Amino acid sequence: MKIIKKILFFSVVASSFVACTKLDEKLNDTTAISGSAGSSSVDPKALLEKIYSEAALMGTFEHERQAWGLQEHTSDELVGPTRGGDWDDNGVFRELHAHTWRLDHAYITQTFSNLGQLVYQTTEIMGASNATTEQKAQARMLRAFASFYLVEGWNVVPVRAAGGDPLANPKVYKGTEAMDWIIKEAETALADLSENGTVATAIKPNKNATRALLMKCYLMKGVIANRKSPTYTPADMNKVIEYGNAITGYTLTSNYFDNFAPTNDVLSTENIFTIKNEVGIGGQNQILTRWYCTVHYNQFFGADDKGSKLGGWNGFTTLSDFYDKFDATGADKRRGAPYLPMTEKTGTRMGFLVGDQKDKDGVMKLDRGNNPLSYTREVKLVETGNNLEVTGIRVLKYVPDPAAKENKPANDYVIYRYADVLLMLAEANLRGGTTPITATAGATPQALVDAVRVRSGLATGWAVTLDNLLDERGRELYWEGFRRMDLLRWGKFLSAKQLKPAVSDEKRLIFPFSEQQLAANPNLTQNPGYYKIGFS
Amino acid sequence: MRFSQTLNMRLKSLGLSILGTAFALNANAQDSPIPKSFENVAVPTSAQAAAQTDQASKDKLDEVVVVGYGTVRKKDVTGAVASVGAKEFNLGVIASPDQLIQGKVAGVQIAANSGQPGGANTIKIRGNSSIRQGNNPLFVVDGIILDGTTARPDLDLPLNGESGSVFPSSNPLNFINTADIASMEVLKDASATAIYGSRGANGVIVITTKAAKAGETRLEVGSSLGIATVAKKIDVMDAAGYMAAQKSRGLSVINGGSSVDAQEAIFRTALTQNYNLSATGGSDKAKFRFSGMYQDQEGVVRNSGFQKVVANLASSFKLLQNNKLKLDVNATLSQTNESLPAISNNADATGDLLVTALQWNPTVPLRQANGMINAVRLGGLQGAQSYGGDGLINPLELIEGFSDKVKMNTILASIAPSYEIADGLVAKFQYSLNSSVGERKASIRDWVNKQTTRGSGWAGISTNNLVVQQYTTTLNYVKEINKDLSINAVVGYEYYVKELKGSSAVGRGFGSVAQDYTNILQYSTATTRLVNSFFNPTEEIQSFFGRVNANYQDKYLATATLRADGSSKFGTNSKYGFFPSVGLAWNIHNEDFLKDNTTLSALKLRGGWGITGNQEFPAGSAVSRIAYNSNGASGQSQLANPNLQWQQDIQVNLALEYGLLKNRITGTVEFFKKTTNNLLYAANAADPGPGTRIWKNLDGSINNTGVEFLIQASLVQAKTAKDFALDMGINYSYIKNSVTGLPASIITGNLYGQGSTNAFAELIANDQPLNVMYTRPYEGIVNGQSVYPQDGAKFDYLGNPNPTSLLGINTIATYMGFTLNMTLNGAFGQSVFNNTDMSVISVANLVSGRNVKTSIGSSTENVANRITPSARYIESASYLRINNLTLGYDFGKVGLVRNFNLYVTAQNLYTFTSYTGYDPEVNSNASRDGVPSLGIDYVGYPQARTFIFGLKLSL
Repeated sequence: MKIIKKILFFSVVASSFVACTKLDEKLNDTTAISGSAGSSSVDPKALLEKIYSEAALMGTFEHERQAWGLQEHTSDELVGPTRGGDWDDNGVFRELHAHTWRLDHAYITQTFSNLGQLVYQTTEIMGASNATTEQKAQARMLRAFASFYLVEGWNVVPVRAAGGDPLANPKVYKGTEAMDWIIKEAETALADLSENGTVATAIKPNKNATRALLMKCYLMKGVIANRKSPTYTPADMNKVIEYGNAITGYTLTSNYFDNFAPTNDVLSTENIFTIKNEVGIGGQNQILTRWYCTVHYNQFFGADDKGSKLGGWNGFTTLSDFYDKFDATGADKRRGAPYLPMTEKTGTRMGFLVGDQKDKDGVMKLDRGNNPLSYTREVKLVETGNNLEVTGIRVLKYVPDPAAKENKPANDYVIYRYADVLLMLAEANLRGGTTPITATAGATPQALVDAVRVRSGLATGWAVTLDNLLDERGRELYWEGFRRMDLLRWGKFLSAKQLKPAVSDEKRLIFPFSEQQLAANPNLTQNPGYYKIGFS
Repeated sequence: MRFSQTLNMRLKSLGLSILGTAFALNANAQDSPIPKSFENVAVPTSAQAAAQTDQASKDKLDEVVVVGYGTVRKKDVTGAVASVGAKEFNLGVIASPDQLIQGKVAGVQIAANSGQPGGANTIKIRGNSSIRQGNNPLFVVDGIILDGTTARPDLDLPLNGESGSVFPSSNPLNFINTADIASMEVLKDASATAIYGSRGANGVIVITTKAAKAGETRLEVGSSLGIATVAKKIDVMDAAGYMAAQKSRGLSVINGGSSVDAQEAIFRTALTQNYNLSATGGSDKAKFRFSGMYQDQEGVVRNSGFQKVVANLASSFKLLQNNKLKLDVNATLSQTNESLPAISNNADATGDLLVTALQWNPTVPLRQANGMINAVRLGGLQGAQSYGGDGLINPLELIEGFSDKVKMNTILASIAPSYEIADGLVAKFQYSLNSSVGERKASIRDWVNKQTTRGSGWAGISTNNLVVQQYTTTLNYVKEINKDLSINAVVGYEYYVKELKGSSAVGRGFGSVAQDYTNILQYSTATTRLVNSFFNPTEEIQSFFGRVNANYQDKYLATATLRADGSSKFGTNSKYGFFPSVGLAWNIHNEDFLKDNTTLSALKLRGGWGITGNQEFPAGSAVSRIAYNSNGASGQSQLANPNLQWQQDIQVNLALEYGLLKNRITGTVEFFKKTTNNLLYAANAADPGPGTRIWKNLDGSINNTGVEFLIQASLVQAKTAKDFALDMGINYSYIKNSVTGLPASIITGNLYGQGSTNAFAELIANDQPLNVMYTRPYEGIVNGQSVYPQDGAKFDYLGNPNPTSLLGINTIATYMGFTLNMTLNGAFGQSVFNNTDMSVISVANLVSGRNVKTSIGSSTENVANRITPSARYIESASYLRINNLTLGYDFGKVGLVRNFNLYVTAQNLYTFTSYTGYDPEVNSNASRDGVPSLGIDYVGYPQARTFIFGLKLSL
């Protein structure tokens, strides 16, 4: 008994130091929620801010390897050659251009996930009881926008119910069903958004941005229904024209490259939907990749051509076949034009850079081997020659920002602009749309395309046909992240091209899912033709 | 004899539980009645093995080993427990305890991730069994559980693009004075580690520090001085070879007209000083041990180093008239200072310090005549103070324009009252506190030609606080029930709580202001500033545990263990985990039929089974959470998994221990099979997901099967203490590792550097070893260009980074007062992916005026050969290393000095390997999405070769 008493005594003393705990987790710097963020008391404004400032939107579209990269590398207007030691990156760019990607392709996987992240984050806001109609409408528009890229690339849109269980397996819409859902969503957003849209409000979803998205959706419907041989209905084309007609208040910016300038938020008169970038701000501000990814190491855009920063990475180029689509006389300013004050300070022009590159005093620039920096017309997928640093025509679409001190330039990233709207109106008409076009630029495909061409120094009267409109879209919208879907609409995505002599396998019309993505959602099935990790 | 043994054990175990420390009888061998000579140089790995006098052997039988929350007699052990005493520890420049036992224990791989002073080691007990980080074993120091969390802050230094640089971590045990350690026990199998439940699966290393000791005050002093040089340089071209390589390829780049070795310029002959002092004394009722140490270890890379100061007080009191209440108070105060070089795990193509040194054009002087750093900028050579555009970074810029310092202050303290309630029954309570503050300050000067910082400069400061408290209450019962049966049992309750928080601030745009940027962060450009603070979810673990060890007639032994762990981290559906184990042993040599066998002096068969867990995932992972991001942005940071629980290991162990010729030869053969299930993995959430990962217990398992051999022999026995004696111990283990049943392959093994963005080299894939290398086969160079099957479209499983065999050889020779001690360790069968060769010193460098590997530069490889991951860079990394060679002389009693001992040690003397990088043990952190890589070499801090001269004496 004495022993038991002692044990009891000691236990009481010991337990006075500590009592049993319920192990309820104290989170300290985060807040527990049940379900999704939308179902919590989090300010929807903060959720929207996260979307605008972080990877899902900014990163996915501004990065040279993600949504933009998948549109461009797979097309006829951009190639990412391996240059000796540089840019092979495990073959990711060669695979995209040659249509030999595998299901473990880093950027196909990342882009799918990042677009999904945008869908998820916007869905949260739509499920938030404390979100305003406007906030929900902005979220709904962005969700439709991301979903559009998902169905275009992977033929699916996996969705979650607003306010639903975030652990449930997402429902997967496929093909036409997915596109119909996106259109319905975008049309709901269009009705609910309060802002009609101007250049000044282009950085947030607005009605005009939504209309531009709907134009794309209706144009792509035929592709989604039959990727190999798309067909287009007059009803869909009329919807394209209806929405295009409703986009008003924009005029073509007189200087084409002002649309892509560091101060494009004030210089442009045609930008409809953009992503805001500010100097030195935003972890995901990737806009500098638009010029880093292409020009040579020794081409600088700082305060002068000896600038301390902003030299290139000597990467991507266009192809001579694409370059030759432009007027050979050089009249087309889109192909190349001086841009002030940049050209004055650096000697470099905007547009396509081919041949000798000189500094502001006309002195020839040199490559790292001290050879003249003179870009060749031709380029190969794998460059092995002595001139591998200078092969290929470089493309400056965005005006390098000399003030970008901290590697964060101010050029807003342009998603939709009015010239694209005009060209889409023309295309819808040529594809059988019968609704009258009411754009101030003109009522016929000829007038619309003339307006776009004249702005860049060309004469009117170029014969506009459906066949050659694809080329004109290329000339106007090169390196803007639409080429894959344009080629799909014209049925030319699989076609042989300069550095891909064979017609691609049909499966390349759709991207694959990674093994991890398939494992995470049993409702997702691999797209046809893709097998398992390691196989192209 | 039996009585005294039992009494002995009881006293020891009481003393141990009271002290909160434990020591083997021979651990404090200074006091041993056995004459100093052979006894004091017991053969490493198992003191049991030393061939000794009959009396000594009998003492050995009474030796106790610490097995967690108590001790058992060595002979009663039923699990796989290896005990290494202080006398067997590695000598030399030792910053952390794990280095003491490298190569000493079968089945334990201790590999330095890099040669950075104070840097972390990868420790794998019985193979690789996890697909998330934090795979090192659990360390328990005098009953205080250390899970590897430290207050050392991370800072996002822009050496890999804008952000996301990963720097090597430091060793979490740096704050311990290794001279305070009396013994280390490695608990390898589940029947031994189950007492640590959900944290035991990686194995447990129990550290017991030297205890307070009564008697006249005795002083021990040790001091050593070491000289270290880099053990190996990577063979890049010299000036003449470089110009020839340029010429043969028709290239013309800058010829600086000089001849420099940039590796030589960033390396140095480094000095290390180490001083130790300890004092013991007091009465039987109040005794103490005080110790202090100072270590100043220069790194072989300039401007890097590690310093530490540790003071420790262990005191023990007997209270009440009956002396039954005891009180132990221990406190360790420690400060470590790291000076880190600009060496990151994932430097971008423009490089870090090592990259730029390897790549430096050997014809260009590193300094101008006026002493200014020479820099290759656009348009030729300029002083570094003038910004150029792209060009090269002079490695001296990254030494003189870079600073990264970490200061850690740690208090580890415990107070432990215990009371002997009845004969053999002791209740004990221990409260411990591990409180640590880490401070990091780093800056990059504006004139360093790093694209991300040049012209503006960068600075960051960060402070973290860690507080871990542990309350342990145990009831130990050690009793000889009758002549045949004795019992050793423990039950207990433990509560563990951990909090980690911190803050950081970084900025850019300082320009040429002379001050250390970290002192004037306000001077940075406002828009560049980033401030962050965090407070991780509090981690609480509540545990109930018990163990019974029974001995019947010294022939039949059984141990049963059960621990229940509840953790705040676990999902609501699985708050508690239960971890049982059993161990059985049969002392066959005590059976009548072997009793008189003179050849076979010991024979013991033992087997065990148990379940253990691993809960090393971040707190807060089981619940849905909202995080607060920069500038008013907020959103979901975590998806809930209410079923989230520990990763589970099931291990079976079977061993035969034997002794021959009066234990002149002893050994163990041990088989194990470890199956790891419920794999913790931060999986992709199903898309659309929140962009964060969801922690899951994946289907599938990782299997490690192996066999360990241990043999100790007294090759030449000494008749007297002065005779020549030679002892040798060999431990060898073979491990087979495979992954099965995963739902999908997992990509890891990120590659970095030029032409390697987002490239990878490893997979976690079914029916392959963990981290199998997965890349293109390589067919050689034809016409200067690499050739790959299917032009590089074919991929295959091409290398295993896991060693299949580990070997340790420990030899001791003694003669007169001399002792020669040699430790060799090796690992065999593993491959390393040489990312350094692939993208740091590739042929492409010749175009950009950078240096190349000699074997490449002198070949006919075309400068335009592309950088692509392939089997070309997979190298065998098998090695055998002369890790430690020590020659000591014992002067014995000299005047007032009781023991006077001089020694010379060579550390990392020589490595036999065909690996061409700095060191085959390398393990750069090339994890992807939190999944660890293994055996990727991306220019890690090189290993040093060190010569140490030291003395020890006691007064």
